[in-house]
Amino acid sequence: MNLIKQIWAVTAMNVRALPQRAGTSLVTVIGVATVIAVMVSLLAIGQGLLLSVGRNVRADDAVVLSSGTAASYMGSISRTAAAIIGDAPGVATDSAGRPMVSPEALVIVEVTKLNGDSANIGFAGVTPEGRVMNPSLHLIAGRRFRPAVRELIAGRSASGQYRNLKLGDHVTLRGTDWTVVGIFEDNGGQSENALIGDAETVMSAFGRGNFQMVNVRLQSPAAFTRFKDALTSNPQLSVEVRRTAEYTKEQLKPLTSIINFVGYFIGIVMAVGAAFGAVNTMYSAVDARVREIATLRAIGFGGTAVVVSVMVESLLLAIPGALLGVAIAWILFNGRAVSSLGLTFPLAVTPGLFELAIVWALAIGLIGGLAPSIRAANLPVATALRAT
Amino acid sequence: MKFLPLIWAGIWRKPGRAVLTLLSVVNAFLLFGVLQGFASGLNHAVAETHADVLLTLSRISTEPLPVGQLDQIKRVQGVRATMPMVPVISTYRTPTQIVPAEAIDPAQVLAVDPGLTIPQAMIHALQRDRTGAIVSRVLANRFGWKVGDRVPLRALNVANRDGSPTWPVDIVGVFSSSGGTLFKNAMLINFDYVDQGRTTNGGTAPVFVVRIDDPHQAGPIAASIDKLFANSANETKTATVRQIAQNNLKQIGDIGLVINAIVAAVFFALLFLVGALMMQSVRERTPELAVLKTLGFTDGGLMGLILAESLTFCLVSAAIGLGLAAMLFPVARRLIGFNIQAGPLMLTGFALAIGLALISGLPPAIRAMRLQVVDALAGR
Repeated sequence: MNLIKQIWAVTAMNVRALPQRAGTSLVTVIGVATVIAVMVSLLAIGQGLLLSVGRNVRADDAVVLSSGTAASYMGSISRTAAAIIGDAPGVATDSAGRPMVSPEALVIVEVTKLNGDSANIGFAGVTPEGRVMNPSLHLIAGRRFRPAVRELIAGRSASGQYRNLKLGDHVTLRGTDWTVVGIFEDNGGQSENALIGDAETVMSAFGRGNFQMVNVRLQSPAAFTRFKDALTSNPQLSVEVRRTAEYTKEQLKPLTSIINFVGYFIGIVMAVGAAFGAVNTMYSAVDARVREIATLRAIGFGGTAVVVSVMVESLLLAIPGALLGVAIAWILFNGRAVSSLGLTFPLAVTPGLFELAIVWALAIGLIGGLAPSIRAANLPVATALRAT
Repeated sequence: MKFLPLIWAGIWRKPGRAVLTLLSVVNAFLLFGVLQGFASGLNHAVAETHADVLLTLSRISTEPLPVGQLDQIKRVQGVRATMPMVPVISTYRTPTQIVPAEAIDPAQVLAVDPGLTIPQAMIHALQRDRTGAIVSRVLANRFGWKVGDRVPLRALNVANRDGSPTWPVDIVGVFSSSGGTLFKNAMLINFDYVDQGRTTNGGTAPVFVVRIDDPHQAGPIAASIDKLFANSANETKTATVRQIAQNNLKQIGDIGLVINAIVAAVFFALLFLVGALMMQSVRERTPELAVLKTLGFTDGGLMGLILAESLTFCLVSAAIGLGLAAMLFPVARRLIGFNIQAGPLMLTGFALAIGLALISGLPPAIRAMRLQVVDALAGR
């Protein structure tokens, strides 16, 4: 009890004296804020990517790809195979009793950015039944495409980024002419960066005889194993069955791991620098109070109280630094859209990153306070009292 | 120069504080060196590509093109040699050990890539052995391969006839590569081996390498190649290796901008760090500085002294930090084949150090300049 009282007394004294050392204390705050702002901004890229891609993915979603293909758009699944997949055990049915499967004819098409650069985006042909799969997808302008005519609807993000994808525009894709009849939103998911049309029309326009992949809604997440076993043991099929969430995450892994590596690498190097700065600040804080500390020791305050009080002061400087850093990253970058490797997504400063920032700041504060606090506790009282 | 000992003594007045600040600044310059080195390595890699090598790809993403198109390309005026190329992106023992294997035509590879230096004998060895492979020194060192080794590649994008992703290859040669080749870190295997062994896309290649006579004709030749296949089922997009490399970099994002933003943030924090150090030191030395003034130092002289202190401190830190970064550059060259131009980078680094010193040293220097001897000596 006595110890806590002592700690409280010394810490309160330190904190009250903070304004006198505003200059050096500010160095720690700014140092920590910079580290956190840079690191959180970099990591927010990876977070934003994962969030935007995983946005509309449910735990009971599965995807069927033809086996041995590197990318979904290279696959080949025949109409017969698609029908077999729809009849497989574990597939959910809609109110009318039809299986909830959505075979997609997926074509990569070249479009032109507003600045004239070319870019590749996905053009998915879906079947009339397939569209019930994704309830979050809805039109914000225009109407649905009709079958048998070359009409498509464009995602909101694609429509804004590329030429000739506004409502009513005519666009040439791989030598075929299409009319944009609608613009859709999908809760911020990646499909907003793509085009959607009728499966049969897409297949005939681009000379495809087969679907490229099949999206499946399962009865429950647990039905996955049953569904997968039924398909992989069927000799008529040569397919790979994956949970959609796992599949998308895996596809993005190379990209997110590079981004995270860069974020943590730069974060660590900068944190080392900031820690030196924090040590400096706390040394001068201790230096400035040599006589006060010696007086406290002389009248019976323990070493522990002094150590803890210095550590607390160091942490008190680091935490505002972290808050400031996260705030800067949030104001500058949260929600700002970036494009990389054909994906467009907003940066996301998530609660997880906020926690990470606090942890890093505490670590920097602890390291910064450690040596100075021990020095403060070990001051020879008599000499220190004579110090000027 | 005669003031150097005075300046030096001023810096080391509080050794602990000076060392800590020094480490902070060294750390920042090390980060600057590594990041800028990375950017310069990327730019250099783009710049050393050959201007007379074109790549013809499908207009749409990475779809394969029929090799029959090569005959037509060969007949285009100014085309010297052509070759189909299938990237067989593979892994070795673990999924993270990536092997960039390229299925190529050994008879044409030297003709299409002027940067490639492989002895003719090694090309013959590759031609004789259907499952043969020649690997760059970088790759051989990374995985400890030597001639005679059998390597089971696990291809990520091409399935073997039995449906498995495994393509066994035998290493018949190891080549040293300088900059400017398409195959700096690659493994080269026979196009025929892959083409006859795969189940899908037989007789196609996603990339055609086209060597032309005159680099200045690259634009028109690329345009006439693409015109050959316009409105066909396999439209092409042809560009020089350099243009494609630049485009790929652009696809990732504005790397330069990100690096500059990080460096700016780091140096912003440093301004305060160095500024606080100098200010503290000047404040503590008030009586000493007053004595110097009494001895005849002018206001300007004292200001110069403080600035020189800040300048010396920053330049020494920068030299250490940049030196450490420069020690990493040969490592980068060995591991990822990056050729970093250290010169311009060092110049920018020292310029930054001078800027840092002047800005952070100015407020304390002005304080020292305005010092009133009487007040300072009286401790007011």
